[in-house]
Amino acid sequence: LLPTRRPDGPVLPGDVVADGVVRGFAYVPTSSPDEANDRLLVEGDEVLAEPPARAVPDSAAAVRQSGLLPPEKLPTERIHRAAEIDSTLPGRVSRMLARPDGAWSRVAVPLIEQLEHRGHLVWMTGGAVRDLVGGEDGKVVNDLDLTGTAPPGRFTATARTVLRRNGFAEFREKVSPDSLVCSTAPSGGGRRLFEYRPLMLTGFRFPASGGDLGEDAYNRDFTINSLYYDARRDIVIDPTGRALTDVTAVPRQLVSVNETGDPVQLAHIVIRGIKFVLRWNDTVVVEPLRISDEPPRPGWLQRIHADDWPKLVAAYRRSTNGFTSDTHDAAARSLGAVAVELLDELRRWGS
Amino acid sequence: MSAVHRPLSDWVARLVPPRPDTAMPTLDVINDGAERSDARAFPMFESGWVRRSVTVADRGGRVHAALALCDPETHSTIVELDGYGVPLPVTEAGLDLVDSIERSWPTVKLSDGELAVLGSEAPELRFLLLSRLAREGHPPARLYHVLPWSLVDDLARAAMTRLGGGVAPDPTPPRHLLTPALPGVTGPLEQLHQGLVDLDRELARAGATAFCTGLGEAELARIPPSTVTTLAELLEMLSRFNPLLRHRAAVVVDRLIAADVRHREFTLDLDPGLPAAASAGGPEGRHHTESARDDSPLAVSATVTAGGRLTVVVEVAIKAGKRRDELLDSYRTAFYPITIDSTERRDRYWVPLVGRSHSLAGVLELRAPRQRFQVHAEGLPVGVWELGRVDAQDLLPSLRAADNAGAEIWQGLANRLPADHPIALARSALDN
Repeated sequence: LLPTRRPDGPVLPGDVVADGVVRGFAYVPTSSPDEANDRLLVEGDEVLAEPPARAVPDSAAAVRQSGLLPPEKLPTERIHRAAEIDSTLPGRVSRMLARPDGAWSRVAVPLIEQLEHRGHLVWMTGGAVRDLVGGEDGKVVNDLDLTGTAPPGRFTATARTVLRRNGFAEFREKVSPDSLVCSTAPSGGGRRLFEYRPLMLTGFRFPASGGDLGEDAYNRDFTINSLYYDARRDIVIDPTGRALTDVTAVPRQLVSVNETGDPVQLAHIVIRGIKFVLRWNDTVVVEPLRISDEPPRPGWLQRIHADDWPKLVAAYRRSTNGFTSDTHDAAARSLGAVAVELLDELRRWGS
Repeated sequence: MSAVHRPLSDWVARLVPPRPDTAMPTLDVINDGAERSDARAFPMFESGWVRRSVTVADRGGRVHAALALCDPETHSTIVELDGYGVPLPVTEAGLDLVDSIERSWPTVKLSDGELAVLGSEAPELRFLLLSRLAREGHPPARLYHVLPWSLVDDLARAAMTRLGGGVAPDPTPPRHLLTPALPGVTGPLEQLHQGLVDLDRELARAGATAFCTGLGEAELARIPPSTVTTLAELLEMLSRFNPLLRHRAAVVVDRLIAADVRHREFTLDLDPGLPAAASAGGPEGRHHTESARDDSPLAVSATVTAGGRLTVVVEVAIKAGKRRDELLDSYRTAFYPITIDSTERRDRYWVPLVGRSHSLAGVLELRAPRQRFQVHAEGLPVGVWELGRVDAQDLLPSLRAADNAGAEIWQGLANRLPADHPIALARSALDN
């Protein structure tokens, strides 16, 4: 069921190099990124203000390979054969990936294959997996979101080769040094072919990748968006252990297990919660919003800096665009006191 | 102040003043955290901004003199970023030009000297400027000449070196940088070059085909004359290697060098009423035929009978042998595109070409349109690779109109290809 590590594959967190135990990867932006933009992080680098100059070895052949692949770190009951969840799921996923009107259809499979060929693992995630596992036809999927073990520089170099070979060299690639999201879209604008964000790694003073699936899942907004689909092996991974239940429930459940203590991130999750309630109307049941089984502490809004409010207001407006103000109130009420409180504050700053 | 100055880039970041522990201003997050949004459309830029350049450290610690916008009232400064979140470099002369261009936006009148200044700015800045100008106005063709055409020249020459059996260092790829002027050409050119580097015949052949197609649709005035010459040279070289490209490549080369291309057009005009008016023969015996050929190996004929049947025959004169086998390998099967155009409908067909001793030939048999119609044979042969990108439903008419030899080819491919390949799906749909 699980992929196995290749001796000549890439370095993994947990491996031991001369400088210590590998923790993950950082990324230093330039205007033509490739593997050289990735940096290796070892234990102790958490105190650094900027990524170190340490390059990532081309392969793990010369290091002590004590690291595990992300799925190997999870209990086996969190890993499921797609066909055992729903016998039609693997077929719906492959039809979605090859959908002629899908922006990704000409590159998704070769991209996934090429990343695996280079020893990386890659999973579909986000709304596509949520909708497909929830029983929807692949036609409802609008975006292809991917995550995986390849750091941004390695992913971008690999994707560039795949795009060139498949006639998409003219598309404009992007790498965000903030979110580490890598994407490719038509140069004149338009729907992205895909969006890839390496598995998130927290605990550093700059954006980092190389975390495990559990860490990544617990940093997403809601459980329903924390499923991972391995399209090569038709495997569904549910790191939190409750996403499958929440996605397949009728109506589906909107629950956050994000462990953030950052009030700005919490506010973004609440705003996304309002968006989902508005979008899905009565197809969703929500629990009063809580983070990691704990309600946010009183006064959390006062910990948001004044500079962050305009950004939150902009996010709120984007998320609720097209819905009337009274529906925002109803959505916030269904999410509980935390959302009502935030909505009032957003309106105050917005005015 | 009006909406004169807005970002050229879809990504911007606020300038963060130096802190006690930093000597240099730094950057806040991209687009205030809305990375998927386009900063050019942000309401905050509706009025009040002026152009300036700022010295800023990027997230890697490198220092840039970057293109920026400043709000004189709030002193807020926004730095423009490229697609990798790196500040867009600009010179003082370049900044003055951007400022001046934006004041007369989207009308642009630059002297030769100003064009030269603009042409020496960072490639991404030039790309972003031309992209926005092209979207919001009608920039003069020569303005596109400031784009980094040397990247195209270098890549085309590297491809020619490889085609000639030589080895050239890999040039810097043009990627998206030329697309405001020349969409659909540099991507295929990169694909062709990659195929030559990897000795992947199908990849190189597919790239060459798409390159020829794209160049045939290019707005030539936007391409500097020296680049036009280089691209025409490459196309002629490609057509010497691939006789299936020769007809279309000649049409495109004629177009590139401003020659009259009408004599090469393979458009057959047919009137279904003509055979009926003939006196001899039965409904299928009375017929009217039009044909076209030129100095390339391609010949096309179309026959309509009084009974309303249309037969289109495509023939490419290439002798059987090792070279032809190698060429066909690069297609896996070559298909000639035919379009039939009438007042009733416009239908696209792909005709599989079958090997004969002195040629490759394919036949299309179908009911003719009832009104006067045209048979267009102006496309380029494609292979299995390209048909993998066509919707299976769009292939169905070709399968229905195939003659016996063609039907066998479709069937054979359907048997060999994965079940989700459009050819296999179309063949299966035909049975159902």
